[in-house]
Amino acid sequence: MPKRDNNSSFRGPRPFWSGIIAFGLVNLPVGLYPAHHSRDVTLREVDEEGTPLARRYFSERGRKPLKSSELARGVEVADGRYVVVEEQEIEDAAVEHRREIELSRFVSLEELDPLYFRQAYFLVPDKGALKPYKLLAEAMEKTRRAGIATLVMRGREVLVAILAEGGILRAEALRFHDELRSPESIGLEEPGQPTPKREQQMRKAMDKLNAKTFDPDELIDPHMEALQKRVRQKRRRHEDTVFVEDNDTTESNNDEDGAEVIDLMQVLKRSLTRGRAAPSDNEHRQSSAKDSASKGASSRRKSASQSLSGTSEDLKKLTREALYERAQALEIAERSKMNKAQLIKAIQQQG
Amino acid sequence: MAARAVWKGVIRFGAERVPVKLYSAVSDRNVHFRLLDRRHHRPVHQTMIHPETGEAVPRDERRKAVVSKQERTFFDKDELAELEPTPSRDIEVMHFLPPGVIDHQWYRRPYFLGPDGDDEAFNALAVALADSSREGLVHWVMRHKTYVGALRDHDGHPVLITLRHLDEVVDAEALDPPGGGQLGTGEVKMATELVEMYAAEFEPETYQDEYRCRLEDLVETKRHGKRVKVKRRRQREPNDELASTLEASLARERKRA
Repeated sequence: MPKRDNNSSFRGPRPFWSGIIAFGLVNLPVGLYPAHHSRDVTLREVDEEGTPLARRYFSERGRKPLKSSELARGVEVADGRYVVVEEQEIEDAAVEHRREIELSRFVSLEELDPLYFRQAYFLVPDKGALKPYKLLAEAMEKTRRAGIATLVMRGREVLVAILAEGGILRAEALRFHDELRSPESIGLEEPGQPTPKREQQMRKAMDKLNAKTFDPDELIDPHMEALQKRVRQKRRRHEDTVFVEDNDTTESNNDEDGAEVIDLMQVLKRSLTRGRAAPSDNEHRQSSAKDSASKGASSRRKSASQSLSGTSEDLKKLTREALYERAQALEIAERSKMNKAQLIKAIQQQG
Repeated sequence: MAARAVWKGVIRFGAERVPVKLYSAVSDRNVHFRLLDRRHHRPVHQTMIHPETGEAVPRDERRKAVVSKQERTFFDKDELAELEPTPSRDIEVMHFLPPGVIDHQWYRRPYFLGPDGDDEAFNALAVALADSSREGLVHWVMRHKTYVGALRDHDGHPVLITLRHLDEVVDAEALDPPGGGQLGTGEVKMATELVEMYAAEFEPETYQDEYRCRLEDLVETKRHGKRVKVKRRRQREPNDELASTLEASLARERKRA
């Protein structure tokens, strides 16, 4: 694939997804960036020298770890009998990649059921798309409505609610209807009517705790805080801490994620004021068209459905979150404990 | 079939104590594949190895550490246990907040609540939550982890939604809204009209997870040794000329109406 370093303005994490919002006949090119990120501190499995260990798969009796070519995904068809499902077959099941978000259903904000909310992404406009972006955000805030649409993310159709808040558009990925239980299906009865006296008492107790707002510090995880504090303390005291030479294979989870967060903020800030610099998708389409012309149908399908695995160059460009989601889709075990380099490795092994 | 409760706790505020059971409101419908040994068609097992030697490292030689670029800080079992939050059944309400104060962006996973012994207290809580439309910000410890949650009403049933912690969410308030020039009132008017024209009900049941369906089909057909076919779709080109495009969109929608 040709290098795309000619967009001079800035470099940062690439969007998680990029495409076009179709609002009536107005087309608004956007990029999606995750609004969530992984934890600051994670515990890893290491050997006695502190070298982070890698996970490998072994056959039932084998002594050597299996190579990726010796691994396959499968399903149990009968008790203890498994059938292999080929990567290509899974890839074929992927929904055809589509760059559009067709925005033609706007529901009132009150109607949106937050139980459906699964994962949030910020939408940032591409360069030249600031105006339609602002216009859409303003119209949605004025009408107090959210757009409901579907988009295709790595072969999966994702149902999203697009919300406008303070001039910024956000996509909330929604759970599908059949992924949510109902109180009836759980076997919960409709709560009965309490005695007026008991109800009154409950209300009074609630009223005493009424507040207009809360301190964000109340969302701090005290367990994580305690762990972090202890890490700092131990490092300061050189207690249970070994120092190692900096090398690439043992890249730090913390530092890497920290850097990413800052970058992401910058990308979001800059993209929102100036538009996202890289018109990468047109180029991407052209290059993939060329590729497929020369390499035939299978490579075309691969780029169209955004294969989960990829060359290490492609994977390196992704954020840890993006890699993590792929790892999740590939059901790579222990993925939450992996850093970026390990995720890339694991994804390639699966692919 | 009635589902099983995942946890039991007691919601506490002031002198109130409401014993509740938590039921997951989400069911995992994903198709899960097993990782197999390709040659023998048998599930594999995992082992931790040393990245350089490739040797398996036995359990008693493995340790836990926080790894940074230059440091490895070890933690032993007792120490980790000590850092763990104290087990408790209390779900403590910090505040009751007006709707919208806890942004949906924080929501992670919903649980339905059911009574656990004291129906009268549970019913009073359910009714009071539904009437006040306020959301409780709550703290609790479940299975050695600390949780923050939103306690709220869902069509007459109390629900508890776990929230993401502070370090897991990108701060939207630190972002500046988009720059660029002023919007024309005409354009805003047209865009608003277009949104209203597209007004619809939230009908989540009309969407289904196509990919999951296909995977289910795939698994089903695999049992019969067949392959699954895929359909293809078309693409769309971007455009500019905002005002005239909006006008054309409105005209199109009016004609349809």
